[in-house]
Amino acid sequence: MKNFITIMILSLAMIGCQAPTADPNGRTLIDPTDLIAVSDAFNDALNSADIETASSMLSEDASWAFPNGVTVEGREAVSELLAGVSQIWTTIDQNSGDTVHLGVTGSNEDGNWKVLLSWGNATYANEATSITIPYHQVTWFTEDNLIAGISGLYDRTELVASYDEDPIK
Amino acid sequence: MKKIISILFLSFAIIGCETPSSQDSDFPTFIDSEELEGLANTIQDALNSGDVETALTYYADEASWLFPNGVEVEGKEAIGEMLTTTSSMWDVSSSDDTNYLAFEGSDENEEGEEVRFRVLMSWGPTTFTNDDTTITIPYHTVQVFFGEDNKLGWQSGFYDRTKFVEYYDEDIIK
Repeated sequence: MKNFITIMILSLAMIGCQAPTADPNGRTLIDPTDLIAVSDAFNDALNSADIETASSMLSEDASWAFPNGVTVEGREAVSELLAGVSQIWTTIDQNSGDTVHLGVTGSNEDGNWKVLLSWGNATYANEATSITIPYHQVTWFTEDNLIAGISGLYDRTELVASYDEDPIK
Repeated sequence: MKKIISILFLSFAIIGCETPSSQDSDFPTFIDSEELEGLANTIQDALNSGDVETALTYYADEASWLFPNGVEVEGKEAIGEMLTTTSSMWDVSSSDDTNYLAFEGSDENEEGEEVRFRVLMSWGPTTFTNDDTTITIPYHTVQVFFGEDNKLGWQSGFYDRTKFVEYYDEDIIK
């Protein structure tokens, strides 16, 4: 079945190759290449525990929403969290399977927005364990491609079971 | 069903990037999500009233359902058994703040027949309630409908199951 989700997602990747089409709400598909590059660079910085570099890719008011409903707001708070998480996991690989992305842009009363939608498998690993789970992430970007927000949707059951104390609370 | 779907989507993926400017083909396009939202709500309403039989009429015979712990339930009969358990345990409601995105496309199946597919994606808080507890969690779902009669052929949910696993004496999705 994991193959199926990859295949389904490939169709989304294909859509990203099409000429732009807008839905009735004015949302349009965009080439996600630049957004993927920022996202990958951000994850690379995290995996090398380079919090300073990762933090530099966040907007001042960046937020990170977790699947348990916890939201961390502000670049400083997010950076502190990232420092703690990088102490627990030596690797957080969000491309451990066939990850596929879709770029979407639109506008609302606050102005234009653009997001990167990602589906795939993520692997969390340290010396004690390795956990791989289906993963969906929505990443919001500013006009100059700083990360303005991240929302991760995935099952934390195995992750929580591995923690002495849940760092996301 | 899975094989047909696989070929269908793979062919799109291959062709899509080679002819990016094609607009008169069967490439998927964004559509108004309203009709698919209605279908999804009808299915959920049936389940919330315990009418699994009615809910199942909207599923394809070879439908499958992927859960965020990697468990997959395959076939209408197996899905019916699963839904009988879950619908007796939970009343499920989506937030008014839920965002939807939908697209459609079509391709030929192995028999050379034209098959239409439509995909509904949603993001928003979802609440699971019973007499004992209420669990509200961020939720993302992908539902793929096939054919002119919009049979639900595949769906997947991305959400945190931690509170559910804590609640269950024995995990019902395994």
